[in-house]
Amino acid sequence: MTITVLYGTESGNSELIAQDINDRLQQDGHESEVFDLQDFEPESITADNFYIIVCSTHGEGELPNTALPFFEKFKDFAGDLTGVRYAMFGLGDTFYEETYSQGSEHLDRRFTELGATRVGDYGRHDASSWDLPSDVALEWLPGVLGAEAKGS
Amino acid sequence: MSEILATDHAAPRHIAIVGSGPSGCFTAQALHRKWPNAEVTVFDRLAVPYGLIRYGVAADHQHTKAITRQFDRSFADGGVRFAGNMEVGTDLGLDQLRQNYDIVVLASGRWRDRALSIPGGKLPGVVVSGDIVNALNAVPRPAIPMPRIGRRVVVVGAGNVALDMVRFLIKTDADYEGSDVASAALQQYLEAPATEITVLSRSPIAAAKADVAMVKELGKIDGVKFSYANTSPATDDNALGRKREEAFAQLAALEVDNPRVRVHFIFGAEPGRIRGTEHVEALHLQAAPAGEPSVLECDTVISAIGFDVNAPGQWHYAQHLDFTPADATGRIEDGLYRVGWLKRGPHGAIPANRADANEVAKEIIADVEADRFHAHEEARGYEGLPERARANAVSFDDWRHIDEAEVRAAEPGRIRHKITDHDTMLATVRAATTK
Ligand SMILES: Cc1cc2nc3c(=O)[nH]c(=O)nc-3n(C[C@H](O)[C@H](O)[C@H](O)COP(=O)(O)OP(=O)(O)OC[C@H]3O[C@@H](n4cnc5c(N)ncnc54)[C@H](O)[C@@H]3O)c2cc1C
Ligand SMILES: Cc1cc2nc3c(=O)[nH]c(=O)nc-3n(C[C@H](O)[C@H](O)[C@H](O)COP(=O)(O)O)c2cc1C
Repeated sequence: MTITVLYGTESGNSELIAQDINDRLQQDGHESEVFDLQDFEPESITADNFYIIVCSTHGEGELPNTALPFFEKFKDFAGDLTGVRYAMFGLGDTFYEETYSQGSEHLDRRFTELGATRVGDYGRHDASSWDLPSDVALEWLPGVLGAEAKGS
Repeated sequence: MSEILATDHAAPRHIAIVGSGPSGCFTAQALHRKWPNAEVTVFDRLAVPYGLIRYGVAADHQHTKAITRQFDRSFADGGVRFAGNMEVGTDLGLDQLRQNYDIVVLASGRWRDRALSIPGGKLPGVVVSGDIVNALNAVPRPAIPMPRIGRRVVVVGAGNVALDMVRFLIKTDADYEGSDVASAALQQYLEAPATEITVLSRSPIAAAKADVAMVKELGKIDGVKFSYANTSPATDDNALGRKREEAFAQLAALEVDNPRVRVHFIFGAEPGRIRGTEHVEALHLQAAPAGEPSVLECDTVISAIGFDVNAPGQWHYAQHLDFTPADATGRIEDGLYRVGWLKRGPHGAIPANRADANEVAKEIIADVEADRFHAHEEARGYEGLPERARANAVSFDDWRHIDEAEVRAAEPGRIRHKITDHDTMLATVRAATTK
């Protein structure tokens, strides 16, 4: 099974997290790959892979720039994602009280609508917390992999 | 100096980046990722890294500054070198960089306020936003004192920096909890803060430049009564313009008993002249929406009307080069590039500089792959630079001593007390490293 790490970013935090997750996965002997969502097509999603999505929030609770072109295609995508498993890690900032961490939720909703199943806890990073994004994500990762191993 | 065939090297060995603001740091990240074995050095004239993230972004927006943690990592793990206190043009020449590096990327930014060019624009009492930003952010080299601000203030401009100014004018000391604001500068203002503020925007709300989130944020500050006048409303298809209008309507609808301060926005207003003999007394509008007075009595005018694209001195190290803003290409000549505000002009936020840095990095990679770069046999990278300049350089570890000293010196309620002068920064490094 290949683990595909996808990220959507505007100021690079999600990209760094995605790369760190990918590095950790490879160190631990997994087969994994990482893509910017803007270089990724909904058609290539397959139940043979496990997806880890890392995505921030911009504007007012919206997706970041590099996730927008993907999301446009994903909205119109008519495929069936039943059997596809994925995990979600959202970035945001509690400074934006009303729209905190909603960016990734747009993707999450669409995955679910298309029949995919989210595995493990929904990860979150809050920029106002001053925690290092990758630290939070790498702490979150084993729980997700455990849940995925149990489920598959 | 003999040029050797670039094909002798699969990759550049030495990469220099001038400027440690976001565009320089993002470029360093991207190039280091591509060529992990190349020596990448980010130079800055200041002893401390991160350019306008440290010195432009408002002190009460610490969350925006969190982005520096990405860059901290590339510097701390030794992948990228920071060389502060090395000004290109004085401490070293661009030609010295060119001789010692296969690739040189200029990321020195451009930031100087556009001046208000109306009659009376030079009267005492007319203040450029940059002077306030500099004082609140404790910009060194040189430190700029907090300007005097009176009770009745007109802010000219309605972009994000103008809104930074409005927030500063209406916030109280308690609102800076957890920030790194320069307390003395803030205190000077708060001894007699403004009570009446008028904000002038040339364009209607629909076309104004401020982010909606910035407008909404104003509404969270206690004790302020907002009002506004607008000219033409947003068209139906202008979703963003309508959102901004809604945000202003919400601001104006806030009920406030006994406001400490009143803020009135006038959209579609054109300042004509500033009147006063020794000092600002009033601002006369050339055009104003119906029902608005055309004379605003005031004692201070703060201009925040954008930055000067051709500010002199920003590229004194390379006066022979053309730095007219351009979006298309970062290449100046083989092996020499520019990125960020120095390339595109002084507009756009940090994320825009990331996108630009990635574009220019791609261009550089493509050029290297096509053998279009500047590889010399005798290029020695950092080691090849004058010993004197290197001896005075501030490394990333050195900067951490400054960082620690600043954090240690923080007053209650502040996360740091920035050192305001360059020499003290250098002395702090010396004291910590010769112990
Ligand atoms: C007042 C203000 C507030 C802002 N607020 C925000 C905000 O809240 N959010 C946001 O996203 N964006 C904000 N911005 C915009 C953001 O700061 C810019 O988009 C960004 O900093 C531009 O990046 P840069 O790297 O091109 O230039 P800079 O950040 O200006 O970096 C240039 C660097 O080059 C160095 N340098 C200059 N000349 C030399 C030389 N000769 N030798 C060596 N080093 C040199 C400088 O010391 C500096 O460190 C603000 C800008 C300003 C002016
Ligand atoms: C202009 C702007 C708007 C933002 N809007 C939101 C928001 O509505 N909700 C939220 O939770 N975070 C918001 N954020 C915070 C980002 O999601 C956070 O900084 C994140 O770490 C950025 O990750 P990235 O670098 O991968 O884009 C915003 C940030 C910026 C700069």
